[in-house]
Amino acid sequence: MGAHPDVTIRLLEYMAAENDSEGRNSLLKELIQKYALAERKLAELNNNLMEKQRQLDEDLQAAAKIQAALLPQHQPLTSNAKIAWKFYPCDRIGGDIFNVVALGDDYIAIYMLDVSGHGVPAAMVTVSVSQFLQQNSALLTRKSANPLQIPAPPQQVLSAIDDEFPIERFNKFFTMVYMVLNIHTGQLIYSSAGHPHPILIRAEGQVEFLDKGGTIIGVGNSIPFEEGEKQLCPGDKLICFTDGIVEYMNQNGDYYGEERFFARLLMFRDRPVDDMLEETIRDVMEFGDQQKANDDISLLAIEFISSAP
Amino acid sequence: MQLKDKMVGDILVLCPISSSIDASVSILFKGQIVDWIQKGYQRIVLDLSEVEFMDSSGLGVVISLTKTASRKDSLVLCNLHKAVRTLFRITRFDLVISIYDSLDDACRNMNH
Repeated sequence: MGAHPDVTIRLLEYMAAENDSEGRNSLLKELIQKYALAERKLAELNNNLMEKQRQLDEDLQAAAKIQAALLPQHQPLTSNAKIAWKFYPCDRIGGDIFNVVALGDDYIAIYMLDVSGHGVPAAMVTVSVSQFLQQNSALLTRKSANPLQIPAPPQQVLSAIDDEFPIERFNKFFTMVYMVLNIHTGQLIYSSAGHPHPILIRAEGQVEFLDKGGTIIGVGNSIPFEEGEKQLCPGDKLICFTDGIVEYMNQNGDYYGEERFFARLLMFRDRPVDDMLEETIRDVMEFGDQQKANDDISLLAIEFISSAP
Repeated sequence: MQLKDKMVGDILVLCPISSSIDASVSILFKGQIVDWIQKGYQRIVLDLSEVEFMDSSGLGVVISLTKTASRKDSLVLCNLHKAVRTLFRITRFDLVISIYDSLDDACRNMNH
């Protein structure tokens, strides 16, 4: 069996051509042995492959747990705001990340970002940005003459992130929205880096979009991140999302789309934010007949409960 | 991916002949254009009339090209299809790179 495969094959072809019963028996035996060897090799390769796949799946599972740990882990400690979220990465781990962070006793910071692409490379960048924000909490607040820390303006935060994550660093860019809410007064200041405009649904049902901002993170441009401001009133609900939900496609090739998405949110605007998002996801899944999404789906809703001091 | 090139005066016009610039062709696409930039062309118009679809990897390529190009407005775009134009608008990347409705507009503006 150590002969060169080409020679062996030619030998077999020769033997097959010979019209001789003894030769044919010997040929049959040869073929059976070759076949058995090939089968064994195939089974071995298959087992190796399955083992590698199992290992990769396990790794992805573990990575997904790590990523989930970077998302909001509990409600904000204030009773003036309530949050709800949904995260459906399309490859077990995703290129989206979001969180709500307390800044002292008076403010919460809310952010969401969407790294280009998805899967492992995009997920790794989300971890990097998340860690950067976490370890640079000084970035999110600033010194003032008053010993009370006040939040850094969103423009400044996005600028710092833009400096830290040029596209050349990871060969990725991302969109991001960053907001600061005063949980006592309901004043919200925000900016955005090319991210889909968050939607504000007022308690009475009017819809507004948070459309101020600059371009995506990674470009390193001197275009400033324009800031906007909204005054939240009790019952107002703010929803951040990435384009995965809007671009979710069903088997007919139809997109879920903004209209359907906003209509669904509006339909359940009187319900707690938990329910609102639950119903929205239910609708998306129905629309797509439970089809797997081709991009990560992220939703984060914040309800401003009261402006009691 | 085929990239047609022609000169309009001293402006280099590059036209990708592909209906889609996505992850499968973006690296090649970038390489081809970087080659042209490295040849020293200072004024380049990217004519995207054939490109019906661009995803984030395509956008990523345009972003790095704007950074590779020698100066601001060294590279401009024209003839964008609706979906591509929307992508640039939503990400506000239209604030970063000049986008023109036609090749004539692009060349005229570059000549100033």
